[in-house]
Amino acid sequence: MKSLMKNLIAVTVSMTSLAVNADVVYDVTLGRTSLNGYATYLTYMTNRNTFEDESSDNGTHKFKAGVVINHTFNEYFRAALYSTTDAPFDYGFVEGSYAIDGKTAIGARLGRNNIISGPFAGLGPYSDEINFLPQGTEPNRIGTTFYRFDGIQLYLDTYIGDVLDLYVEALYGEQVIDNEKGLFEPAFFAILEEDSLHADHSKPAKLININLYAHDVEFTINYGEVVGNIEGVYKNTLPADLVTGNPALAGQVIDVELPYQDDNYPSRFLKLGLSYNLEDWEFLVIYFSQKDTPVSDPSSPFDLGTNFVSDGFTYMARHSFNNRTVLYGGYSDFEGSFGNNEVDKALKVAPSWVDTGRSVFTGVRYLPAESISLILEGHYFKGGIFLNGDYQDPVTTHYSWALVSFSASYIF
Amino acid sequence: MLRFMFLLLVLATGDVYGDALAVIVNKDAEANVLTDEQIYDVFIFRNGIWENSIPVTVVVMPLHSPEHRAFLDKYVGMGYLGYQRRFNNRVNSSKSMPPIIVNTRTEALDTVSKYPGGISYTEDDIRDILDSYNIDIVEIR
Repeated sequence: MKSLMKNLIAVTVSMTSLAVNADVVYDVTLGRTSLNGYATYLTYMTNRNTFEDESSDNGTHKFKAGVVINHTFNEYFRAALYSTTDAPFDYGFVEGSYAIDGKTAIGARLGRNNIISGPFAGLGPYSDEINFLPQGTEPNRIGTTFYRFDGIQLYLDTYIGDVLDLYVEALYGEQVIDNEKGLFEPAFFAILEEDSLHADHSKPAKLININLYAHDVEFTINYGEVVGNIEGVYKNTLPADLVTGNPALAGQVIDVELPYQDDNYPSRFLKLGLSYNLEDWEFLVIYFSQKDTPVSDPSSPFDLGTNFVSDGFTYMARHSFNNRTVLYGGYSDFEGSFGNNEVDKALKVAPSWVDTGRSVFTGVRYLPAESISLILEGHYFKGGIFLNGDYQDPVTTHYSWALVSFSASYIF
Repeated sequence: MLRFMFLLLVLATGDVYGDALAVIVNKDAEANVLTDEQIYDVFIFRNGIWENSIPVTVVVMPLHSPEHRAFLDKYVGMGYLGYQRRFNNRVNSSKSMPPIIVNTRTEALDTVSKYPGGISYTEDDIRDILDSYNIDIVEIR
């Protein structure tokens, strides 16, 4: 939820304060406030019964609401606050900007910042189609990769020549992990349970975002480095009844809940996005990768070795049929590996693991009225985890799940 | 015969919105003569300040509305979905005042008239009521 005003009716309120004394009346214009918000009812059904720690025997029902307040004092100063039922202070900042000329502006935001631009940056009723779904669905996983950061964000907004627009954000601060985002393990079979999660980031995070526009084409680069002391309860979320294949492997990873702690856990994220708009069509390609390089601790039951790498592509198309209907769909895949390849090759004492997955998704968004948004969406995922050691016979665990969701939102 | 009548209808109506669309601007912006390129730059947020240093405030109809799509087709040359993404991504860049979405022509006129740097468009002939607003119809060169 970063794009804040699309399809919305901005309610503008001019606040004028009159400070009166005996002789002088000061007419001080305090600026313009836009107030937007939404209330969403979301339901989804999935055969992944413990998806994100929620039973779906009878479907999962959620109510989410949020409001964003944007106050522009003048052309130099602005303040924003986004609050939801999940996170009362999801993000908020004060911003100062200076327009060097009509083409270029520089600025700084101080507070809890987020990444606001790029394909899939804005999910939910405010912006792109796509429901608020659990992590692990594509492209939610991509869209929510970058979390909130407390710190300072500098930006440059300019354009080059007749065609190119350039927008650069650089952020330095402390990563914020909230319950909504959680900490997702791309290995896809385990997650740190939300309520137990605690992250103490002793080292500042660095994040840079570059957007380049050339008329109908948009290119986005997001790169982030975070290092944190992370602790929580490591909880597998893969239901046993969806697992086929090697029962021994399933026995190792199913129904496990154990404390987890890792200090100085470093992660690097990279997201590249390209979108092209052709009349009523839009085509998007997104590459996403995550690389973790924790210190290996073979005595830990969660030791993933010295490297965890996961990357993949998402392809998506959107088509606007008329003024109120958008149909969208796509395909996504990823492959990750974890383990200590050097140890594997040299000593042959520890295996490397590979997890891989593919998903297809499609949905339709319909606006029966200006302030009503209905989204029906479906996902199907198929993946597997298997050993990659040269010295053992490969054993494979396959799993798959499907998810159908529906949301109705009132937006203002 | 039906085909001929349909052809006549198409020729008679032409572009339902495109021909009548006019760009309107607050008089204080002193921008009553603009080029196509300048209109493009303003509406995709490339240029956030008028020559007299007044910040631009873009006022548009709902992004999926027929009026807005017709405007995009005529002046911006960009599809609705692409503009929607750009609008979203740039709305918080603070190069200038945030854009405003309105729902009716009257609301558009009121809003443009209210903000010194306001600029928008209308598909209706407003010459008869122009005196009621602090608005110029932009001459496009």
